[in-house]
This record gives sequence, structure tokens and C-alpha cells, in this order.
Amino acid sequence: MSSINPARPPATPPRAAAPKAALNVDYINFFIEAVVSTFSTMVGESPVREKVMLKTEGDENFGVSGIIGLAGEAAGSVVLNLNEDTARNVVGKFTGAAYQTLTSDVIDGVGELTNIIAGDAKNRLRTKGYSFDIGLPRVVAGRNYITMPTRGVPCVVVKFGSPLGGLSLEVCLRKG
Amino acid sequence: MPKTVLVVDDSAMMRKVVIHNLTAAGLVVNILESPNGQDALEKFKGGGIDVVLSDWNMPIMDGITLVREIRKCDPAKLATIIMITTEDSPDKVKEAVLAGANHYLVKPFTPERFKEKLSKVLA
Repeated sequence: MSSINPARPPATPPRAAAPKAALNVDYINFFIEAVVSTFSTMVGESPVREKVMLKTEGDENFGVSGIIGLAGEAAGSVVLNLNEDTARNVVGKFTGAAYQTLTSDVIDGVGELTNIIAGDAKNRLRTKGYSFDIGLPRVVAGRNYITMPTRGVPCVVVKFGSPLGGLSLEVCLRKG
Repeated sequence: MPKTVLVVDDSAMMRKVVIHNLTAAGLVVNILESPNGQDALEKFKGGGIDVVLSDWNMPIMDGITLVREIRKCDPAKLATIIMITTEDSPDKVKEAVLAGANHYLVKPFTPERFKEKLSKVLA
């Protein structure tokens, strides 16, 4: 399911201090591997991890975000963020089509890539004894929206660079 | 005469990606599409389908049920069924093979891996 939110949201509300709960680094590494694997195989470009940081506030986004819920050993969500140009470039390579604007196909393509990344990470985690279920992807597209971390849930942002443009992955998980 | 391939996935985008991979691999085929197992089964019963490429998780009728239903009307396994899914656990692969699937392709896949699986079947 996808939705478009062109309206500028209100300013980021004040947040509580960063959550102290630890996030298992294994989880993050498997999601990073899943992003690299999915993009290098299905899009034909390998993104390079540039920065890993804790997310404590809602960041302003610009483009398309694929969001998928996780449940099981740990519960939370994964968000794949691409700006509009990156989304058009990435989905163009994914489908073999050219997109001049942010069409419904581009939005659906980001949702499908998010789904494949989450599924790939789930498979990698299973081989190490971690059990997760993934939900159905949702996609938000528009300008100046923010994705807020859930209070008390550790959230890590991984920024990637690629020839198709920058992208980021947010992994927010707490013990289930 | 080109073979007929039925691409089954509830995601229109994923059907588009599979069709793009068929075309990019230079495989000359007739292509049909279905958004779920029930629709795919009706198309299959209509005849003329050589290869079914099916997702696992779909509404109305999932991929594993589709495989079982196809094999009920194709016990000689004349049609080739390839599951294309993110489900890669050994239990799932075994379940699909026991149900009658011929091949199993896990997403994400490279164009080379896709072509390798399909070119043998479509030769």
C-alpha cells in the first residue's frame, strides 16, 4: 500500500532522551548485507556504506520511504529512504524502464525493494539462529515528511552512497 | 514456437521485474500474468502454459497451493514450475519440491542466475 504526503508536516516535536536499550549489532550487520546484496543483484549497483549513527530525532526526508514491520525475537521496523532522483534511478534499473517523475511504479518499486531487503535479512538472521517475521511493506512519498523513531526503541541509521544516488536504511528494533 | 510463461505475483511491480529479466535475458516467450494463485490456476486450466513462475506469499491462493493444484491436473509434470520467492529456508524448499515445483529461485537474484534457471527450461 502506498500513500503520498505532499504537505509539510509541523516542526519536529521535542523528543525524550535517546533510548538506552542496546541494539544487537548482528541485526544491523545483516540488514547492511541485505541492502548491498539486493541492490547489487537486482539493481546492478553496489551501494557503499558511508556512515552508521544512532537516530534520536525525526529526520526530514525528501522522496520515498519503504517501511516494513518486524516481529519475533526482536520487534520494530525497517525504513528504506531514497530521495526522488535516487528512487527513479533505482527503480528504473530494477524494472528496465525510464521514469521522469515520481510515478506510482517508482513508489511500488521502492516497496518491493524494501520487501526483498527485509526478506533477505530475515533469511540471513535465521542462519544465525535469530527468528523474525516480516510484515507487508508500506510506502510514503512526498516532501518534507519525517520518520520518527518510536520512544524506547533503539534505532540505527545507515547511510549508503551509490552511483544511482544516496540512500539510507533505518533499523529500529527492541527485544520482542 | 515460443513457449508460454505464466508470471504469478500479487505485486504488479514484481511481475514487471520478472518480465524485464525474461526480456533482458533474450528469452523469447509468450507471457501471461496473474495476481494470485486462483487466477493463475484458471489460466493454467485454459491450457497452453509451459512454464509457471510463481511467488509464494499471495492473497486468495498462495503459491504452494497453486503448485499442488496444478499438479492435480498435470500429474505427468508436463509444465515446469519455478518458485520465485524470498522464502529460502530448507523446509520451504522441501515443501515446494514435494508439492511439485521443479526449481526454486530465491530473491534477490542476479540476472545471470535468473537466466541460468530459465534458459534451461525454455530451451
